[in-house]
Amino acid sequence: MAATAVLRRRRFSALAVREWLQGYLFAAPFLIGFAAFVAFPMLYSIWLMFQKWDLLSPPVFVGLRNIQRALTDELALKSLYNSAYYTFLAVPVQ
Amino acid sequence: MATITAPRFLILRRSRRQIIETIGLIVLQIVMTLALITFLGPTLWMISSSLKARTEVFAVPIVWIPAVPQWGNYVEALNLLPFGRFAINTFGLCLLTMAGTLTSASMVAYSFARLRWPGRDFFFMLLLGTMMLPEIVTLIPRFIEFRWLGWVKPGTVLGILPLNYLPLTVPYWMALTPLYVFLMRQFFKGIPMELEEAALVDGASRFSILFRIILPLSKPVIATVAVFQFLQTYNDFLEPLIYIRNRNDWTLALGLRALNDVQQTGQWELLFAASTAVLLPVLLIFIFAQRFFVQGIATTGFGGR
Repeated sequence: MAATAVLRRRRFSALAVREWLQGYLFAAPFLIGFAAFVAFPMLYSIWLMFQKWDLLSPPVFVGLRNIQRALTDELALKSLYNSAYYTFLAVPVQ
Repeated sequence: MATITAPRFLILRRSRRQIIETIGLIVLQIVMTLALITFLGPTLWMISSSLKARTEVFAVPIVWIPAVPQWGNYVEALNLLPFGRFAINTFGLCLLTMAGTLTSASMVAYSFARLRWPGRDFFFMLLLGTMMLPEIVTLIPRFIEFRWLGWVKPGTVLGILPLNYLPLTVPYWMALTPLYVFLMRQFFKGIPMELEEAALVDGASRFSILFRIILPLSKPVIATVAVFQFLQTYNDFLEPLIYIRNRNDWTLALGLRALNDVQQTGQWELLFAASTAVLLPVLLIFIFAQRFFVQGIATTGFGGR
């Protein structure tokens, strides 16, 4: 009894591991693509948030100054307000 | 019998309800007609303007049917820029993205639908999360990444494909189209497990299960995804605008935009002629594939199991 249980569990787990590998293999395009073209750009833009960069010379670390600038910039605030206005006014109408 | 001998007040009530229903239908009809006019009006005006002489385009009152249809507008408009070349480019890109999406999304969808592996549900949530992510957010870092990969330079891949087409196609080979993966997963979940189990018992590999059992049973969802992907690539303007450098590699959408620049002399009828010509394939596809649009929406709503 014990021997069959062990045998069965081992066979099951070998199958399960096989299925894991197949699962990763089939999902690989998405996993790689997500890492390369979604996660990386997002993390990269978070990193860029703290840099001053004109694309020509190497980026310079400026701390929170970009955020400070965005929060005190009239145009940025205005466009945030406009987006909110548009979203909350236009979407309920539809 | 019962209906004939029903008391009078019942008949009255029913007819009153019928009146209300009729009024509702009339209101609905009016609203629908107004919506139809709103949506169809500009399109019809564009089509009719494409056949007008220059003086008729902005004539008041509106000329709906041109006195003499100017079929030559089409010839002239499509020769202003190499539109034949643009059409080949666009259809090539459509084929590449459709093939990519169908291959990668079906594999990934199968993995999410049927295979059990650690982290599956987490990654499925991530996939759904990307659906919410506005494309604009990652646009700039993505461009920088593609530039770093060397995909925004002039040049070709193996001498066939412009290098600039890689940013426009490679993501589609990576199943980065969450909606389509989701649609396919839901469809796959609805296919009886027993078919697959029988194949497994007979010693089929997962690949042959997917390609010889699941996919042949999934023609409706394949058609839906193919049509959606075609339209997405065909209508895409922003990404080709950003990545494609050489005019020979332009898509139809870019060609149409450039025609606006050519129109310094106010040749609006030519712009409308080109627009109508570009609209035509989409219209044809919509007419022939309408069934799949409806199916696609129905699948989104009800899901599988």
